[in-house]
Amino acid sequence: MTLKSNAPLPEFNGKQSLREIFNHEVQKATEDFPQLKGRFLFINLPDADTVISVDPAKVSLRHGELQQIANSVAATAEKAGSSLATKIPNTGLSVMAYTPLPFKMFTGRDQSDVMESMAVFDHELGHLVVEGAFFSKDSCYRETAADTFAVLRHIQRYGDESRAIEKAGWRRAFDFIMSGDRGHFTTLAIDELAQLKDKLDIKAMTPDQTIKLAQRLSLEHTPHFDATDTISAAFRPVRQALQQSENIETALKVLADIALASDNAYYTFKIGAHVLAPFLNGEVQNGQGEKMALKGDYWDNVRDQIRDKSASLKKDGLLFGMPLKGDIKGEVKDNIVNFPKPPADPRFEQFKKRLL
Amino acid sequence: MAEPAPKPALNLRDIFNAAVGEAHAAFPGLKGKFAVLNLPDMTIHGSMTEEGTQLGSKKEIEDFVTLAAANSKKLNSSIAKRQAEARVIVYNPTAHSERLFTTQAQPKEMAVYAEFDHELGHLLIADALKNATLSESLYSEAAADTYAVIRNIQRFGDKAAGASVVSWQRAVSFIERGSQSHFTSFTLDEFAKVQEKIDFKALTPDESLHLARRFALEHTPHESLMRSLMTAFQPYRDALKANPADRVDALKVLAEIALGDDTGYYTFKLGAKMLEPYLKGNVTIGGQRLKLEGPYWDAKRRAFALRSLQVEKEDILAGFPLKNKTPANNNGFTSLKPADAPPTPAPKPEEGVIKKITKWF
Repeated sequence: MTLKSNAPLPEFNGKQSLREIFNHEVQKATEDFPQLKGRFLFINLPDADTVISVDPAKVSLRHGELQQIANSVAATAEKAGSSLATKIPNTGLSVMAYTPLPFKMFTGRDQSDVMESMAVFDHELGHLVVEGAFFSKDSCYRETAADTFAVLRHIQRYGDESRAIEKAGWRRAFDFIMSGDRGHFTTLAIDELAQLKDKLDIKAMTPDQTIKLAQRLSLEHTPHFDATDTISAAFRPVRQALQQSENIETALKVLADIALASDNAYYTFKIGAHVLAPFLNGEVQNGQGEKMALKGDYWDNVRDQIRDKSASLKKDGLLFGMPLKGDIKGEVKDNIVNFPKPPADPRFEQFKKRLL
Repeated sequence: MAEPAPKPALNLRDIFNAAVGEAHAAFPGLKGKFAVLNLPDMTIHGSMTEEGTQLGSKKEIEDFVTLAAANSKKLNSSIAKRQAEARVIVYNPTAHSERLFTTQAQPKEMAVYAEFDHELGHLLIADALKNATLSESLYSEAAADTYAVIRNIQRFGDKAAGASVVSWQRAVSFIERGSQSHFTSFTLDEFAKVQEKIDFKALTPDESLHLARRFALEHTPHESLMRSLMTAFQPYRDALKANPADRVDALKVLAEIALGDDTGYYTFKLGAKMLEPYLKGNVTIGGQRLKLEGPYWDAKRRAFALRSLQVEKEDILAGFPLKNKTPANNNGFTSLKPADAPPTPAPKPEEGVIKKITKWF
């Protein structure tokens, strides 16, 4: 594989149209990821535009078939109200359709729409180029790979200006708790990248390395299905409270109670505290741009507990809440010595005969 | 010189009476629901009642235990089974299982307890009996192995085998025999990294279960990684199969897979784990210590040492450009070589040895 460049991706000055930007990005994607060259069709839904990098010899499509594929993918994306990426069986053709989300997933309100569009483009590109990000049976792995790739690319594009790690990590956790979206629960890998990013020279990574790191982090930090299943069930009362009350503060109280319910519930605290943090810090705005304030004794107590436990979580990691050497946690329980020896149960003697 | 006194026969009956008693004391909910069937001695320990097991009749309980015993015999392995609220462990050791958690120098009781605790882990840790998919089996086995290691340390303190023996055995089973569902080494290795911090005696029974589950959930390898690793190590299995008598030749194939120029992160981690005791001359086969000597193996030992150091230092970022370290495009492990290190002699290419494995996992 020829790696054309590991230079930072271009920044846009806001004067170019989305059409021009995507023309450039599709070209750049086929240079950075040569497997797409001659096999890539991009559909820009807001502008009803397509960028075609298709070599008929490579994709073995008959005349008219490409148009049919483009129409079909565009219709699917429009119906879903979401960008998508797909690979057309037996052709080697990769297709991406872009349409903006009704909210910002990777960027802050104060950041440009182009920054958000680029992250969405890279998320879909990640599905096409990171191994397993399209074909894996595990939807959470697919999304984790795509998100991790998008976040890495966002930092390559925008450096310190990028807030994709914080924004996407939080948004995915929020959706996981509030709507039970397990397939897009990519927060654990993004959080891990947050821990590593200061060590990594992300801008110096080649496109190939970017794919590989996204893959490695996803393999390592895509949560096991049983974890997401159990944690999702633990947060069900939050969803019920939101549904019944239609009041976010009521739901957040239920969330705080669950997150702080046990001294050693690792995942519910880790994820619950992550989602609560910007609410507790007064950083979340409603649709009218008003900041939401959580006030009163209850919330002050929650803030104190979360601060203390977050410090323990940061220090102890996976051993959070477990008795560690040097800890003083009251009476030490010795649960392993000298239990009485019960006799064998005579009721099972008859089994022995059968088994012999 | 007097002959050494013969070792007393292992009293499994006492061991299982004690183990079941401990389990009942630690987990009172097991009362009337749990038994151990000790196949070598044909004894049963524990008790099951119709009320406790919710199986309805004595015959149903009998059928449940009888079926579990038949399954265990068929699989030639200890097993744990659950039906309604009834839980049974069938202890059916093999030569392999008796040395899975412990070394030959350690008392056999330790191995028996470890096997029991592994099966108890399956019964008590949430979701650890699931095995419908590879992903479920990988999690269940990782949880059970980690629990067995925790209990082993709780029971035997400084004398416990810890995670190292079982981790190596699981790695060998996977690499040599392709035993995917029981590959727990990555989880156990992560546990071993932090076990010194844990106050094991202060862990409650429930905390012990939670800790094992937490490590398994966090560090069970993804099934797509397992499939890739299966493919990566297939040439070694093929070499062993083609010439079982010549392990050194097969180990060369393994060395090329694990230490090749383009070897991926996970392939190195796993391959190096298995190779390490061979490279250090710590493996005996048929009573003979296997020595890997000559320039080829010296070069491999150097490559192993350099890359191990890099992975230890950089962990998951090994091979990527790091701040204050490397120029861009350092895609691989080669940059670690210190400037003053002696040049590594290029190993002489040998017939039948794989030159490059390019999988980057």
